[in-house]
Amino acid sequence: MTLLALLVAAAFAADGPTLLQAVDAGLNGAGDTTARMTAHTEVPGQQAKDAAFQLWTRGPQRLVQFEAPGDMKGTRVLVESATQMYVWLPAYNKVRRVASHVNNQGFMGTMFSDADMSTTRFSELYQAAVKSEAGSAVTLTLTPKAGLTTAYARIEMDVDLGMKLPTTLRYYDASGQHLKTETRSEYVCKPAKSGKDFCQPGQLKMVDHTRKDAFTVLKQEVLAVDSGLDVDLFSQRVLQRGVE
Amino acid sequence: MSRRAAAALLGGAAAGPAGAADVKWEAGGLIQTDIRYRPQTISVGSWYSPLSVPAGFSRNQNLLKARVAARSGSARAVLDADLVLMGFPDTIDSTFALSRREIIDPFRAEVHSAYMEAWDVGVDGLDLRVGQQKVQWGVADQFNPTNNLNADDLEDPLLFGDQLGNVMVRADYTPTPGWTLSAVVVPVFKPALLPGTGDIALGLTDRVPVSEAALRRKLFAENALAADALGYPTVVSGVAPLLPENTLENMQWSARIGGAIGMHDVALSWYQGRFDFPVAYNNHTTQLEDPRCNPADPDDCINGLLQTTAGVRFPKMQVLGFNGSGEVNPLGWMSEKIRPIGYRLELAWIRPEAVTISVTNDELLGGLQPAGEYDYGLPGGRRPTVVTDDPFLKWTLGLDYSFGRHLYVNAQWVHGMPDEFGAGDWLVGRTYVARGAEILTDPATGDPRCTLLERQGETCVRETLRPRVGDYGVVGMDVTFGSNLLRFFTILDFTPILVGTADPGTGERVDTQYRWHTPEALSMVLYPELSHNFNNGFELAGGAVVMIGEPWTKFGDPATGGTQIFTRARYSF
Repeated sequence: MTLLALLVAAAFAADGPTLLQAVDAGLNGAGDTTARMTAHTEVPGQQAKDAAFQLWTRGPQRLVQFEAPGDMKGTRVLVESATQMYVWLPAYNKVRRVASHVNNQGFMGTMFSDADMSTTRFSELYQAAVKSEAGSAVTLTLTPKAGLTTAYARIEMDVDLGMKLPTTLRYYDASGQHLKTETRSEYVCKPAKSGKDFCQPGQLKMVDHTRKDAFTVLKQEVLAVDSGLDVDLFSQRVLQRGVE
Repeated sequence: MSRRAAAALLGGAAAGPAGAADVKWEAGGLIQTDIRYRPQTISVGSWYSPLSVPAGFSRNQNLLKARVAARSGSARAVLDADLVLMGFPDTIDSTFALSRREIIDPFRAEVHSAYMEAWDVGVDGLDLRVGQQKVQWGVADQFNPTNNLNADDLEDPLLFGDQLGNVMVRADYTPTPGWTLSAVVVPVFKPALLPGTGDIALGLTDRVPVSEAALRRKLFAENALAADALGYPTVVSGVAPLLPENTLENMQWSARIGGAIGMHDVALSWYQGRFDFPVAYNNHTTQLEDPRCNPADPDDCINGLLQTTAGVRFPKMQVLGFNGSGEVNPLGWMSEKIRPIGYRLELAWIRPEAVTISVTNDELLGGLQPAGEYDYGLPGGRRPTVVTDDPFLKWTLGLDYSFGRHLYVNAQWVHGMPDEFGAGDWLVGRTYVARGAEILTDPATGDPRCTLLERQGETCVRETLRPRVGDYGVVGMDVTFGSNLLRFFTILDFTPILVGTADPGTGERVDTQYRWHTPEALSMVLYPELSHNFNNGFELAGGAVVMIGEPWTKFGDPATGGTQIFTRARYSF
């Protein structure tokens, strides 16, 4: 590590909120992304579950197009906002509005909740304090901002100071119970429109400690960053016909 | 767009050497085996014209579904078709038939979709879709009074809410994100596909489809007394459906505007077409001399039959539809952990074409009923009414909620099933349809309380009636545990039953209403299903659809086919 990097790291380490804002900037460094993902879920005592899908994101908007397993193939999910979601079910040949209570069911049968998947700006919800420092990594403790209700009462986030991105997130409830651990690894960086690199983890693993350490591994291959996805892509029109 | 899209739409011309190279294919499908068992035989009709649906295996079906799409630029073609192996041999009436594979192992094809579509056709936001397709705009689950462009497909009761594909031309214009104008034309009308057990309704000759109560009772009394006194019972020997001519005038069409207001999706639609269930419009009776006795009771004999052929047609209707869906959080003030409840409202204001019925006959019963049209005795010499042209409403209001990972609940209030047609409910004033009738007898002598010569039924007919449009509560829940899904839903009929009799002393008509929870009116469907998903496309399921109720009720009706136990194996790819 260069002296400059060490100095920068020291500066961030001294200031949790600034580091969290840098993390948020890194997480949201692209206007849109296109990725192909696989999800492997194992719950003790049950058959493993695999899924493959394509994912397009543009700000808060998401379009998911399933490729596997066979009974999910052709299913598409459109998230226009936190409260406007639609699903296209090929068997029923219709677009169905789904209310946000479906987020109670988790994200598509994985160990990720919808909040896990959709929270990309932690600093809007949480305040940060430095818990510890070790080499190029800093651990932040995130607690909800006053007046806000969040999915978790506390998050411990290990941040790689070089990328200024999280590598591990440990989620706790109000009683201090350790609920889940998320590991983000194999970061791949691509140039974004801003001129900076936009880095995304090639692998995300979520372990749910309340379910006998059941886990989901999401592997993503980022196909494009800031490719100028059309706003029409995130519409019911496209939801019906799918994306090539 | 794109000339290529237009060319593809107008004849596949894009599939030239250059176009073919960038065609992308999507393919998928499933293989499914359905084995079902009916535990009880359902029988109607008397010994001289018995109709029944036998106990035993009711379905033994293998289905291969293929979904294929070819896409090139801004156009694509879609095929969704099933090859269905029926699993039961057709009627074998000769040794010749035994050598015919198509008789021993019959099959059929179902084409749900076979269409081409292109988007941004000439104008940004204009999409065209031409071919066999389904247009299902209704937001409710399974009970969709605004889905009228496609005919209902009731062939498989487990696929309730499904519809038949039809050839259409559909245009959607999205001038601004979130709002779409749509128009659809359907050149040729298709009637609803009825369940295979529907024929059993032909044995229910006491369901006289006439609105005028006194005339209805008179017709029933004459038929019943002719059977009892003269030995000529009435049977339905056939049904002659009259389909509309395939003319421009009979073309169905619909237009719709849909979009979002705030966080709520709304749509208004107009449909002009036809009711896809058959409605009786004429009735012709002939006399057959065929003296015979009940094989089980030599004293129970008839001299012949009065054979009736019923003409049915598909009346016109216009439907103004409203769809709304979104979420509301009426309980959110209690806890921020309570998420919004999903809602969907589908409302149809239906203006039907009036349908009258003509009752004609050859000379019957030795001239007691002369040949020609029946003398209805109605004011102005008009014919009896089957359906008035009074507008009526159908709707479905649904709510749903997920309680954590494991429990999903869906509840709907359904006003009007797909086969219900015509004004007559608690909202606009009840008019009734006959669900059964019998001749009242003197308890002391056992004789009918009227005679055939009186030619009236006021003093001697007991009728069971039901409002034309009923109300139903549909509650379903999915319980997910691991890779298993326990699905349970029930449909409860809240519609009352009216029984009309005659006071033995005065002869005055006396009506008694039985509310939904009484034994006379109680009618419901129970549907438990347990499925296991192997998480690799393979799924096994088993369950039952249990029909509860007296024969005159909605779900106890013999034509529903009764209770069935089902198993299903499916592999999706």
